[in-house]
Amino acid sequence: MSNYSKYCDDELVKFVRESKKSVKDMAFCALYDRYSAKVNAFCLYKLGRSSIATEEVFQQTWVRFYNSLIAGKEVQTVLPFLISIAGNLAIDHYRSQQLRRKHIKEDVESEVLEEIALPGSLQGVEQNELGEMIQTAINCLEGIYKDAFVMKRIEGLSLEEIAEIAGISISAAKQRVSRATNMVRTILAPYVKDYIEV
Amino acid sequence: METTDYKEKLPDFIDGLLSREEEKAMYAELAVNDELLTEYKVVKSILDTAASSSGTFAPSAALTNSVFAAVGIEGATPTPFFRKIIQPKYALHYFVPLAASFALIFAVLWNNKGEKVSEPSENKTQIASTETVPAAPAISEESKLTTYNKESLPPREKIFTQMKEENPPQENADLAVNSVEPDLNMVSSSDFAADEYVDEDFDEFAEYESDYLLASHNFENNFYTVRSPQLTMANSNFGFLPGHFDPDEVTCQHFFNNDNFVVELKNAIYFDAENKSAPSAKFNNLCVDVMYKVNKHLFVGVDLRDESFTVESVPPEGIETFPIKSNFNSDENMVDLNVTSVGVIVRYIIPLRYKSLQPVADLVAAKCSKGVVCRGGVALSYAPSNGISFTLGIEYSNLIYKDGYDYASTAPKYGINYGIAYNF
Repeated sequence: MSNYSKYCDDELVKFVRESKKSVKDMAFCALYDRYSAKVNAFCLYKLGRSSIATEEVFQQTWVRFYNSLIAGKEVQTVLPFLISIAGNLAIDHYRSQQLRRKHIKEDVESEVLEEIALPGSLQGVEQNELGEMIQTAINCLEGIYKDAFVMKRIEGLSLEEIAEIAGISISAAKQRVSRATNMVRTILAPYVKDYIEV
Repeated sequence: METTDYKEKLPDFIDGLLSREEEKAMYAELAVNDELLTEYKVVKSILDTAASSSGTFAPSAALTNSVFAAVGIEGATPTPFFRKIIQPKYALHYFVPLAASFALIFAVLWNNKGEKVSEPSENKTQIASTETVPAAPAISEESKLTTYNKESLPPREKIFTQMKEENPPQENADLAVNSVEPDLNMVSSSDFAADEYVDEDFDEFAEYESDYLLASHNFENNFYTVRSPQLTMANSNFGFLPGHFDPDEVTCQHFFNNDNFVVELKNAIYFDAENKSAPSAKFNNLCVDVMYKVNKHLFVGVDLRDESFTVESVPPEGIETFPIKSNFNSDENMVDLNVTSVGVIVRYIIPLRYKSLQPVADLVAAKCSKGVVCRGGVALSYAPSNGISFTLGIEYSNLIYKDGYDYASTAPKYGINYGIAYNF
C-alpha cells in the first residue's frame, strides 16, 4: 500500500473527487482502511448476525459513499456520513422486512425474522467473555440508545458527530449516550463485578 | 447526592463531561464510598472493553473485495495475497509469469532428460551380478563409455568414473575398471563388492599411470551421486579434482541426482538513493526461490518476492503536487509501492569454488501488478554441510512501470540479501 493513509480525511475526499483513477482508487482504499471496521461494527450491531443483510448494507454503504463523493456531495466528516448512510440503509432493510412479514405466512417468516431481528453473537466480539456480555447487553437496548452506545463507545464518535448523524442536539446526544451507558452498566453490573473480582 | 446519583454520573465522569464542582464531589465520594468505587471499576472496564473491541470488526477479505469490485477499484486492496491472486484480474500478474516459469523449467528438464536417456541406452552393457569384475582395459580410441542397467546390477553395485591424470593419487583407485572413454577422459567401472578392495584390479589399474580414478566407494559427497531409473552411475568427491576436469561430463549423463532442486529463502535489505531503508511491511522483502539444477553451473527456477519500490506518485488532476509525508523519503512526489512479484530466476555458479565457499550470480525477470521487475546480483554461498547452504550477497532491482502520465518509468533500488538454501 502507499502512503495515502497519512492524508487527512479532507485530502482523501478531495483525491477521490478530483484525481485520476489510480489516485482515486488509492484514496478510497485509504478511507476504507480507516473506517471499514467501524462501519462494519455499526452494521453488525444494527442488523445482528444476519450476515447477508449486514454485508449488503455494509457494501451498499460504501458504494453510496463513493458515489456521493463522485457526485460532489458535501461531506463534512467522513465517519458520521458513513454511519448515516449505513443507518438509513438499515432502516430501509427493516422496512423491507416488515413488508415481507405482511406478505409471507407467519410460520415461514417467523424463523427468518428471528434470525434477522435478533442480533446474536458477533464474530469479532467473541474474543472474550466480557466482550460477549457487553454485546448481549447492547442488543437489549432500545434502538436509539443502542445506536448511541455503539457510536460513542465502540466507534469513538464525538457527541457532535452523533448529534449530526441522529439529527438531534448535542445535549440530547449526550443524554442518550449517558443513558445508554447506564443501561448497559445496570444490565452488566452483577456480572462484571464478579468478573472484576476474579 | 445519593450513591445512585453518583452511579448515574459515572459515564460522564469518565468521559470528562462533569462540571468542575461535580467532578470534585465525585472524587470525594469515590474516596470514601467502596460501592461507588466498585461501580466505577465496572463502568470503566465495560467502556474499555467496548472501545477495544472496535478493531475486531474488520470486514472479511471477501467483503472488502466485493466493495472494491462494486465501486470499480482495481488493485491496492488490503486483501491477503493468496486470496487476491485467485481473482481473475490478478491472473495476468501472477499466474502467467508463474506458468511461464514452470514451462521454462520443464522445457529445460525435458531437454536434459532426452539427452541423458539416449546416451546410455546406445552403449548399454549388461553385466550379470555374478560376473567377475573385468580387468581394466587399455585406454584406446575404440573404447566406449559403458553404462549399466540398474536392474542388472546387484543392489550395492556402483559405477564410478575415472579420468586421465599425470600423477594420479592411486590410493583412490580402489575399484575395478571395465570400460574407458578416452574422449571424455573417463573410465567406467563397477564395484561388485562395494566394501572390498580389489587388489588385482587395483594393480592392473595402477599400471596405467595416466589414469586417475575419480569415484570410489563412499559417495559421501552428495553433489555428484547420480541415480536414475535406468542407470546407476556415480562419482564422488570432486574436491581434489584438477582444474581442467569438468564434472558435468559425468553428472550430465543423468537426469536425477541427489541435488537437483534447491529451495532458498532470502530476505533483502534495500536502500533508496538516500541510503535509507524502505519501510517494512508484512513479508516485505522476503523471497522464496525454487530452482532446478540444469548442470553444475546453472540453475533455473521460480522467484516469488514481496517488496517495496519507491515510485513517482501520480499528481491528481487539478492539483499540482500533494506532499507525501513519508518517513523515509524526502521527495514529496515519491511514494512507496508494495508489490508481490513472480518470475524466473537464473543462477550461475561461478567456477571459483574454494572449499565450502562458492560465488553465484543471479538474474531475475518477474512480473508484478504494477509492472516488470528486473533484478541482478552476486552472492557468496557457504555450504557447511550436505544440503544446507547460506548466502550473502548484493543485488540491484528495477521496477519498470507506467506512471500517472502513462509513461514508462523505472524505480531502481539496491541492497543486500541473505538467505538459507536447502538442496534436495
